Amino acid sequence: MSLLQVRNLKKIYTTRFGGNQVQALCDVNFTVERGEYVAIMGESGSGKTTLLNILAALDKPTSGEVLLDGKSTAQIPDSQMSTYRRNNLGFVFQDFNLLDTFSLKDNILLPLVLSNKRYEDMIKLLVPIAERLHIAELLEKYPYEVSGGQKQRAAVARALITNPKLVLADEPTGALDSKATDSLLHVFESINREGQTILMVTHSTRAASHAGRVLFIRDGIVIHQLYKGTLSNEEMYQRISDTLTVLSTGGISRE
Amino acid sequence: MNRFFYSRLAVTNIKKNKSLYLPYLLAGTLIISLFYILSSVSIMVGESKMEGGSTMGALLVMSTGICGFFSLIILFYINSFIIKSRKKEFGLYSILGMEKRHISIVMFWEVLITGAVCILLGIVGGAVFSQLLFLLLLKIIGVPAALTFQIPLSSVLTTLILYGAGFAVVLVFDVIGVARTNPIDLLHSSKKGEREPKSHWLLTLFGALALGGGYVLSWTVQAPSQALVVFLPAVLLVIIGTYCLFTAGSIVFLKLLRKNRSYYYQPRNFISVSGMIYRMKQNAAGLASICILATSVLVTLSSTVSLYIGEEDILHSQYPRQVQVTCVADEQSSSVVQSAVADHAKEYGFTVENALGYTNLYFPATKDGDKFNAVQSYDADTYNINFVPLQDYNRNTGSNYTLKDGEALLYMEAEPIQSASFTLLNRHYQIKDRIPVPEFMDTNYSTSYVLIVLPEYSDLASVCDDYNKYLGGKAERTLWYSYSYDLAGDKAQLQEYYGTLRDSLNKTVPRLAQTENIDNARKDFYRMYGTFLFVGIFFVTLFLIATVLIIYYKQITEGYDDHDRFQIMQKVGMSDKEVRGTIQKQVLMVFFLPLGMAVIHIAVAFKVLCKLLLAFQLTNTMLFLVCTIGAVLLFAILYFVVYQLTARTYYRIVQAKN
Repeated sequence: MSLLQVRNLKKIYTTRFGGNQVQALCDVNFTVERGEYVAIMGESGSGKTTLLNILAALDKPTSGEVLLDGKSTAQIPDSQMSTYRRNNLGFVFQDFNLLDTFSLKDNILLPLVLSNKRYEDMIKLLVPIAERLHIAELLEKYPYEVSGGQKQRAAVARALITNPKLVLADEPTGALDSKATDSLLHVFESINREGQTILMVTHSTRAASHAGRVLFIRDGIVIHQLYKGTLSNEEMYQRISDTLTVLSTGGISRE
Repeated sequence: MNRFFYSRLAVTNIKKNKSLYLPYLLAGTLIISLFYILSSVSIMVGESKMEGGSTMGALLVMSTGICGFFSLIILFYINSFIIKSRKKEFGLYSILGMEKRHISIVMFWEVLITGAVCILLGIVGGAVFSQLLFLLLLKIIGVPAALTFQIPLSSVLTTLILYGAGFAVVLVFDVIGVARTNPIDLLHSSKKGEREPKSHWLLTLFGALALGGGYVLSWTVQAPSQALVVFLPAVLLVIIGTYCLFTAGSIVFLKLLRKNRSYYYQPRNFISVSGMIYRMKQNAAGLASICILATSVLVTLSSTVSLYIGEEDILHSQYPRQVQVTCVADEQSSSVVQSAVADHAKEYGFTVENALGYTNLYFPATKDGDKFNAVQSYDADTYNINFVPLQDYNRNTGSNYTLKDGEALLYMEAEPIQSASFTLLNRHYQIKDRIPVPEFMDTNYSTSYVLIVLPEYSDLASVCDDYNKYLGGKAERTLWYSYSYDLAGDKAQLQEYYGTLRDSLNKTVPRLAQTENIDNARKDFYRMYGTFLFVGIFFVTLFLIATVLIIYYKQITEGYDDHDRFQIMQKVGMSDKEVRGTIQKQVLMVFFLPLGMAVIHIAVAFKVLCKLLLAFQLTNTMLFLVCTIGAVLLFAILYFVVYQLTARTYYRIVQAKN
């Protein structure tokens, strides 16, 4: 069974005054297998963020359903929602979303503390992840004291420390310079190689070229997908940008 | 560009920021009308030519000045809040191409409009209510008066000038503030990552010492005269201590909590403690100010109210009877005075009742073991030594002690002599008995009271001689005869009786000192303590306005800060309820910390305040306790209501979606 199944997802926003309706997602269907690294690409307004919010259970779809490990997120009661999110999902955001009142260490430990873990157990989990992400020396620093790339690595550590089934990344490279971007993408690749499932929303071709599969979304529909297979990152980059060119000139119609 | 552009923009700005400006305008108006009312009432009192009006007027004028000073500080404080929260807006103007000069013009219009509205409404409101409050003052001091409407021009002018200048200074500060920052800073000023505050151990220690010192000072006070000396330094120490502990102590404490891993890494404490560290950094000074203001409100309210309510007690301790006559005593005094008083009373159809008469000698002395050392003048360490002959004591208290030569009865406050005898001016006295508080005498002095009852009138005379010789002419004391009595008869005659008493007694009583009566004294008392109460009400109102405003603006700024944090925590996996719970806990802690501290301050200061009130002759500790508790409860309720109202605004800001 697939880890994540998205079926006939539809989302319609109604503006607050008057009945103006905006259809953000029309009919989205896709699945993500265990251990996959999937990128979702699309331009601004294509519905990527709405999709991610629904996957993260931060927003509810108008119709359709999302199954994680065979379980529909719609069936989880509100009271358990945050626990569910904490235990099953890891988040990486464009603007890091680190709390500046916490040191990096405390930021990373936050989900564990919320789950009432013992301090000794938390440290056991923290040390190897911090080593892997090369932030072991920075743990006592505060977010305002470190660079953007370091902040994002801390955010990744926070997403990974609960050992989630799925890591959701929303434009993770959006606020990083090219060096930090490369370094972060390598981190993603390496954790994916170790079996971590990652779903990343991006409009950076470079970021997407590291993924195993790229879904293209436009006007609320998944209109195309590319498998990386045995292609190198550079070749994949070329394929993606070709696809984007065709897409933006309107070449490919709905499948 | 349209010449109304700037003024229109200013109006729009004020409207758009109405959550910031509405309380500002309201408070400004209130503060200015308070000032205007005080100022005009003091002029009305001066012009009314009422008895004792000049002293009241002087007290009111002084209070007006203090009120004006505080009100300006409050205005500056609020304004700095508003400008801080609007920096981003000014930054945006710069980006959109407005020069600082243009921003200054907009600011000029904003200050002009807000200032004009506040001053105008303040004066109008003040004029409407000043007459009412003047009547209230007259009611408090017990003088009947008719309603006349009056707007003293000088009050209007003073108000205009004071606050006109005040707002001008506000504008200058605002303009300088904007001129000194560049647009990018203005745009990002609220977003800057805040540094974690450092632990200042030294400052914490200093604060603890200052607060402790202040507490110890006020706790160790014995005599009221000491209280007067000690009070101001103690208050200063407590203020310094409060500020230091709020700013440095709180952070040291929270960081210690954070070091304790088993406490800190709990979901409940994890976010609160780290959040509080930053919250205290930003709010410590404001919270300390709230604490000090709250304490002042409580002290002012409880002491003025209990002085006013306790007036009758005070009067009765000073005037055990309706009329009191004092003269320099000789052996015939009692019979001369008594017959003169009886004769004069008869003229007006009164009979003398409940008479108390006694010969009395008093002087200051210090205590050294079981020895008194007579000194020239009273100070904090001296005892007020009083002598009364046995006959007078027995008659006035209905007791029948007997004393042999060299024996004495003793009543003593503070630290009484423990041994069975004492020495005074080279004479040795056996203490035959310890007597209770002599009710017929006024023992409420600011120095500790001692009463020594000696066998005969002649014993008092020789002690007096000894004292005068001992001091070698530096002080000359005499024996006094004091006679107090009530009058029974037609009350309508009283004023006339009081009016002629002195002249009538002077005919027969040699060396008459004082003729006083409780009815005229009561009027003086009401005038004085009534004015205290009146002024007290004003200051309480003023301090309350300041407290409410600080709470309100703190909630708003906190809200904007917490908004982002709230969003992140939800994304990272905290439920809405958990987030709200932790935020509420923090906010409650932040806002009830100053109240709690203020209550502690009051509790510790209670003793010294009692002593201070004793200097005003108020001995009714129970009354003061009730007033204090009442004031604390009232204030706590008000504080809670304000907190609830402002918390709503706070949650609205925090939960607003992006």
